[in-house]
Formats: sequence, C-alpha cells, structure tokens
Amino acid sequence: MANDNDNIQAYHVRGKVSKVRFVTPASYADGSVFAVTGTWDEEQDNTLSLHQIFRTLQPFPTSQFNPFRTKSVTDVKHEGEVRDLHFLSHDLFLTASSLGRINLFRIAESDPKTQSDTTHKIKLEYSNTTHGSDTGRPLAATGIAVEPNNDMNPEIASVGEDGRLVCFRIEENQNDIAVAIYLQEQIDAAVINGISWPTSKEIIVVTSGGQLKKFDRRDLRKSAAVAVDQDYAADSLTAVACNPSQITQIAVGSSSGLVTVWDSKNLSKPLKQFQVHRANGMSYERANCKAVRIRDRDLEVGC
Amino acid sequence: MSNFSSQENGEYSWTATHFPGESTESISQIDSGRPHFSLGAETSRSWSVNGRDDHREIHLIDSSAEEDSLPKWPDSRRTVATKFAPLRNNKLAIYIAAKEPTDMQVFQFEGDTWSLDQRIYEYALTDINKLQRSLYNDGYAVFAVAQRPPDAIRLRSKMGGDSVFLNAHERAMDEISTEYSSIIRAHCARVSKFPEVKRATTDIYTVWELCRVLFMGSERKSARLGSALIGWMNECFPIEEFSKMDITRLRESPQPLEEPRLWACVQKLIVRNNSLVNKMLESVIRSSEISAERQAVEQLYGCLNTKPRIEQYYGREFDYRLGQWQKTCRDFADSLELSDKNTQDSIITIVNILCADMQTVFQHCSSWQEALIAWIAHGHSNVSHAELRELLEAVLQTFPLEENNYVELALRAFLRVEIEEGLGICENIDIWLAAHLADMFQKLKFVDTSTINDGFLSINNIQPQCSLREYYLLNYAELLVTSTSVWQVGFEYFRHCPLFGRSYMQQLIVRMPTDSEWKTQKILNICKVNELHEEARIICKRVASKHMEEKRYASAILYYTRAGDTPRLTKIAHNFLDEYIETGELTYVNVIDSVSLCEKPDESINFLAQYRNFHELLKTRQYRPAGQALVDMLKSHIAPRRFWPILLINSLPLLRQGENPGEEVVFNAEENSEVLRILQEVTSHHREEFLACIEKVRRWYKGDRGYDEIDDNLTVVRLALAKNLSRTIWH
Repeated sequence: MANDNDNIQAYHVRGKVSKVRFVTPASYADGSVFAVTGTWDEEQDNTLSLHQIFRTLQPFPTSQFNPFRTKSVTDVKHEGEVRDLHFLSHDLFLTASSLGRINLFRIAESDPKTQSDTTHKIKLEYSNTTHGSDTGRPLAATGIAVEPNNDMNPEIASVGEDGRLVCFRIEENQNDIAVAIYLQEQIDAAVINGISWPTSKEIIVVTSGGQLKKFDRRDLRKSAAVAVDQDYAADSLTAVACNPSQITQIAVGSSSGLVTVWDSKNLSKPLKQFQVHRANGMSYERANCKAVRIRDRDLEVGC
Repeated sequence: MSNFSSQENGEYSWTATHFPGESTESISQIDSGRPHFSLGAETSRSWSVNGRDDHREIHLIDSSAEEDSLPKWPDSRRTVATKFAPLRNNKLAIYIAAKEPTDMQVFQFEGDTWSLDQRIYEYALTDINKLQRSLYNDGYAVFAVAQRPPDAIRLRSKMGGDSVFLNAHERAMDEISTEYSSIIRAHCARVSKFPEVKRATTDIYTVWELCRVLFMGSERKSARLGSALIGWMNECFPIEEFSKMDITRLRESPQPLEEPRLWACVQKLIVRNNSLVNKMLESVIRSSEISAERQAVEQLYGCLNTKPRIEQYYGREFDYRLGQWQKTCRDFADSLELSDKNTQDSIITIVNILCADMQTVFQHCSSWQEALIAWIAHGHSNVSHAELRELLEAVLQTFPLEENNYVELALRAFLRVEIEEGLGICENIDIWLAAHLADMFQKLKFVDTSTINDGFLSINNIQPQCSLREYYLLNYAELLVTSTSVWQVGFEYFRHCPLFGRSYMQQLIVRMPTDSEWKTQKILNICKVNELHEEARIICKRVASKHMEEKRYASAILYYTRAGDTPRLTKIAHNFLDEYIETGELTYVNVIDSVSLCEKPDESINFLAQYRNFHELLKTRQYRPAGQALVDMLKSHIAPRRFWPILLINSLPLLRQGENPGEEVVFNAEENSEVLRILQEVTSHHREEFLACIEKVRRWYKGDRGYDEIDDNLTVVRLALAKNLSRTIWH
C-alpha cells in the first residue's frame, strides 16, 4: 500500500506532540542538529524531549533510502501541556505551559565524569506563573514572542487564555537566572491564541473572538488596529505567523482550517485565503503548523 | 452527593450528606483535583460535610480500597456506592456510607487519621498502556485506507507472483494486511525494552500473521499455504532449545561432528524445515576429514537439496516425485553402515523425519504448533484449509494445548476456520486485534454482515443487532475514547460504524473533559465534522457557563453565541446595561471589543455593540453619526425598553449641540418627532419601569455632568426637543 506521503520520513517520539523546534546550533561543526519536542493532552505525563538528527551520507541513495537518522537524547517532565516553545540562544529556551506558567529550560551537556547514559540534559532553570483567571484558576499560556533585532537582552512577551500580555526579560547573573516581569496588560477579554512580534514596535495577537489585533509596543492599553474577516467572524483564530522576508504579511490560522493572509499596513481586507485542511482528516493537526509552513514557503500552501 | 444512602440508626449526618455546592459538581471537583489517578501521590482535597449535628471531613484517597478492610463493617450497616464523574468517560468515585463502629481501626495517611466513612476512592474504568498508543495510532492510518473503495487504494506492488490468483479487492486487502503486519513489527521493535508490552505485541503479531497467511494473503489461493505457514512458525516461534547463538556456534565449530548437540540441532532444524540446516551440513562437510561419516553427511545433504518443491510441479506429479524422492532417502538410510552408531542413528532419524514418519516427527517436536508445521512440511506441502483442520485435530491428540492460554486458543480457532470464536478469544488478547481482524474478515466475506452465531450471543448475554465487525470496532473505539491523548482516534473509528457509531459518539462526546480552549476546539471540531449539532450546543453551553462563573464574559458570549443560547446572551447584555443604569459607566467596553460580531449577531449583543459604538462617536465628537445611531437604536426597538430612558437622556448633549452658534442641528424634524414619540411612550405607558430607572440614574447623573435635575417627566429632554424642533423649522 503506497502511503500518500512517501517522501516524508516519520520517526516515533514520545507522547502526543504539540510543538517542535530546532535547537539554534552553537556551531555547525559536527553535522548533527538537535530538535526539542513538547507534548500535550497527556494529563500529568507531559514531557519535553531532545532529539538528535544525523544526516547520513550514502554514495548511491535509493528511493527507499532515508538520509536522516534520529535518536532520542533525553526527556524531561513538563508541568502542564507545552503550548509554545521558543529558543533564546543555543542552549536556553522558554516554554509556555497550559498551567499558565512560563518555564525557562537549559540544555546542558552531561558531565562526562558522572556516568550518565545521555550526552545532554534538559534542566528547568526558572518557572513562574504568569497567566490565570481572576478567580485564581491557572489559564494556559499560549504563545511566546521575542523582540526582534535586539540580540543583547531582548524583551519577551507571552500571551495566554486569560487575555493578558506579559512582558519580561531574562536576567542572568553569574550564578543565577531569573525572569523579571515588568508589565502585565489585559489586552483582550477573550482568549489570546497566538502572538507574533514582527518589528520592535509592533506586536500582533490573534484571539478566540476571531480578531487579529495589532498593538504598538509603547502603548499596549489600546490596540492600534483590529482586523476581522467578516465572512468568518465566528471562527476562533488559533495561530499567527509573520513572513520573515516581508514583515507586513501576516498569516493567520483559524479553527475551521482556514489560513488568511493579511497586510498589516492595510487590515481592511485579507490579501489571500486558503482552505488548507480537509475537514474530515485526522484531527491531530491544527492550523498552527500549516500557518508556519506558509511563512516558510513564502506564501505557498504546501499541502 | 445526593445518593448517599440513608442509615436509619446512623447518628452521623449521612442522610444529610451534601458536599459544598451542587452534587455533580462535587465529583467534578474531585476530578479536577486529581485528574490522574496514581498510587502514592499526595491527597489534594478534602471537604467538610455539615450535617444536622455533626461535622465531618471527607477525603479523596489515592490508594485503592482494600477488600479485607470492608468486612469490618457489618453488612447491614454499610453501603458501597459509586458515581461517575460527570465530565470524564472512565472515572468513577466510590464511597462507603455507614455508621462507623466505635472500635474501628483508624486509617493512617501521611499523619492524618480518617475513618473509613470519610474516604472517597477514585477509579479509572479502563486503562490503556501508554506504550501501546503508538500502535493504536498507527493502526488507524492503515484502517482508514482499508475503508476506501478498493479502486481508491493505491497499491505498491505490481501484479505478479501469487497476486494473479487474487482480484483487485483481494489484492488491496492483501497489501493492507501486510501493512498491518509491518506496523505491528515496527511497534514490537520500539517497545523491545519493555518486556511486558513486547510480549503483548508479539502475541498480537503471532495471531495476526497466522490470520494473514490463512485468510488474507495471496498464499491461501496458491499452493504456497504450507510454506507460508512454515515461515510463520519460524518467525513467531523461534526454536526454544537452540538460540541463534547456539546454532552459529555449532556451525562454526572446528570439529562439528564431535559436538554432542550437533545432531539434535540438525534434527530440530529439519523438523522446522529451516533453511539453516543446509549451511549447517555444509560446514560439517567442509570442516571434517574424509571419512565414512562425512560421506554420509554429504549424501544426506544431497537428499535435502533434491527434495521436490511444490512450486515445481503441478497436481499429482508432485506426489509422484515426492514418493520417488522418499524412496531414494529410505534406500540411503537402509544402506548406511557407520562405525559411529550415534551418527548413524541420527541420520536415520533425520531420514525418517524427511519421509514424514509421524511418530519420529512428533518425538522431536516440543509443541503442537511445531508438530503441525513439521507434518505439513514433510508430508503435506500442498495442504489446503480443509486438510489443515484434520491435521490439527490429529496433532492436538498428541499435544494438548494450554486451555488458559488465549493466544493458543485463538490460533486453534483460526486454524479450524472458526472465525467468530477466534475473534471472541482475540478480544482477551487485545481488543485492537479483534477489531481489526473483524474488519478485515468482513471485507473478505469470512464473517456475515448480519447474522451472529449463538456462541457470540451467549458470550455477551445481549442481543446485538450489529455485525461482528461493528461490535468489535465499537468496543475498541470506546476504549480509545476513555483514554487520554488517543481519544480522537476513537471518534474516528466510530465514524466507520454505520449502525451505532453515531449514537456512541453522541453519548461520549458530551462527557469529554473540556479543560482547556485547545481541547474544547478539538472536541467541537469533531462535533462539526460528524454533524453533532445538538451535542456541540451542549458542550458550548457548558463551557460558556464555566466562563460565566469566572466572570470571563467575552468567552462566555462567544460560546453562548455558538450554542445559540439567546436567553443567556440577553441576560448577559441586560446585566451590563443594568450596570450602566446603576453607575453610568460602560463596564463592558473591553468585552464587546473582544467579540467580533458575525453577519447575524444576537440582538442583545448587537445592541451592546451599537451602544458602545454610540459612546465612541460621542467621545470623538462625531455628533451627527452619533445622533443617527441613537435614533436607529430607538426606532428598530433593538434596545430593551427599560433602557429607553437612558437613551433619551443620552440624546441631551446631541440636542444641545445645535444650541451652539455655527453648529449644525443633529436631529432633523422627523428624528426629533421619533424621539418625542418614544419619550411620550416611556413616560406615560411604562411609567413604573421608567421611574425605577430614573431613580437610579439620578444618583450619578447630575453630580457627574452638572446638568439640570432630571424630573419624573424628563422635562429637560422635552424642552431640548422643543428647542431642537424650532431650530429644524428655522433651518
């Protein structure tokens, strides 16, 4: 039986994956890359896993030949579901958890003296509750974005199902690392499902109320512009991504599998729209990943 | 918890036991407190139970109830009761209601002491091994392809080999069964570090492969059934007496003929019809010096290599050739004269096995499977399904099978072509196996689509009207739905159950936990795809009311809108408007700004948005559009009547706008008279409502704005309207 996607090489990882991110390599010397996956819907067994991907070279590659070999390096328990994962440097990354927490993890090479069977470890460096309801129930943190064009000490923003946007910075001393929160703003009364930070002044979020909201970082109290696709106003927007080569182009994924591309300079009407998912397919996919793919392929839907 | 049973002689307050809050809510709190049941974790919640004259605490216990601790309570004074968690498919709470005997031992838990009647136990009905989930998930991908019409299944192999015996549908099923085999094999490799799961997966594989060979593959229609069964045996039941290492060691021995276990190994390999025997004999020949023994081994090797193969001959010619060959073998054995009697006996035994001497064959077999396969290999290469059954019965008389081993029972049933019984046994091995086999069997018409035999009925003690396929698929899907993370796959399976799939979905989807926005969206999506509109409404209402409790009104409005719950939306809107009447503050601006209204929004929510928009216009000094918006709101009757006085008061700044020199008049004559008409109606026909409203407005209106006092006839508005009218005429 021929698979519909014969050229895709699959690899089993632990749990039900919600996010995957490549590790920003410190150097490209050894030819292998690392990726981190996070899981969701595993009740109390959500994990973060580090995978190593090797590219194997073969003189005569055949059609069956898989050029990639993947190895699971290490797992670490994650409190709550992993809703977003963002790398800050080659070894530091942030996760947004469904328990309303922002977690800071570090990938460290294992000390060769301790007889550990893994080469790397993922260690939780810092954790802080940032999102919750007024009654005190934790609500999921749904997205993390980092201020662009500031490599020194960028500002980081997280959003959550409580409709808040939280701004913070990582403060790293010699022995200590911490997250310093200095701004929390209720920017939406419904649920914020995604955030993107295309330019240092502009922050874009999408909400379950079907709105794309643009904010000026200097004044988060009021949105600078709101875009609503009138034809699909009842759909919840689930993901947002900016085209890295044309930062005014924003792709938004909705709960009904629709991807809409907007021009952030003119939010009166969408640029393009794609129905990317068959409604009767397996429902492991969300609009998120496809929206990201659109970004990568420069506005071509690849499915 | 309302169904605690009443104890007549109980001095405690069990009759009045009531957890704080509503009864079902209590259990859901238990659940949310400990969503995952695990031993040894901390106890997270306790409740106070206030009764008539007592105060007791109830605790959620994390360890299982000990069977022998219960009899300490007299039967007449205790009741064990259970209750399902309202938002879980497989969680239930168990509690014991009774009066505690005074000499009762207390239960120690992390330093606290609670008696038996203070404990609630939480259980999960079903539990899927997490490691098996990847098999279940992968299995669905193949299952989904199998449900397509045969011509929509893209086949990997070209027509050829044994496939010529199959029609297009059978070829597709052949490929699908092979695909299932490969995912089970791959899963087996993945779980190799976990012996228990590996054994369970190997069991699945053993049964699946036998069924594939017997019923699904191309072998069943060609003469290769026998050799396929031999392949199955060698793959699924490796030789126990000799490991691969042993065989390699014997083969590589410098003096193989001196090895004491050599002949036992060769005999085993011959019994198994394992091709390794050739290599073994080759190495014996190679490493021995020229001798009579070596010559005998060479002859034996020659015999083995000249054995006629079933593929080479048609029909009776094969039997003839086989007879000839067996005669040659016997002649060789009869003429054998070796000084080493052990070698001579061993070779004679081997020849006896090759000539299908049943007594010798059975002597060298350790299980019924091995005996059956050896008999097929040496005496019945062209075995058919019917013959297989006879051979099996004969073998089972010598080798009884373990009656409590489900795998062996299933294998026997399938070898006897008792498919329905086999499926029943497979249910005990793994419901995945039963469900997918049943699906394949129905597609290949081995089981009837409608009738169900008596044995099946008696097993379940119910009279299912569905097919075997559907019965097993429903059971399997139900198990999936109750588990975490693969529940979505369960709903996919229900889609393929034509009779009861939908009603199962309806029952189960509303019990799915809606802990987070993500999961809720997934659940609603399943409702949408399966057109479960009523269930979607129920779920939306439930989520919305949860948001309401937390005062997250925007999300509540979004979900009530999806549920089409107009009364609730109206109530939310009225609450906001009442707040304005009380305080004069637009408290809902953030809420309404976060909700994008669709084409046909709910009327009351639409009014909230329009009213908010009116204030925005007023604030930005766009008086003319603001005036129009106000008149529209009054004219269209979209505004609730008790809010009309507010709208009339709101018209004041607009009416006075025209008083300023150079400013245009906001209301024209027609609009002016419309406002006047409303004013008249409010003050005369609905006077009580109006007065109640005005009373509240007076508290904040004057002080804030410094306008004239509002009297019971809204004289200020009347006056402004009159002035405005005169100006419109003048203009």
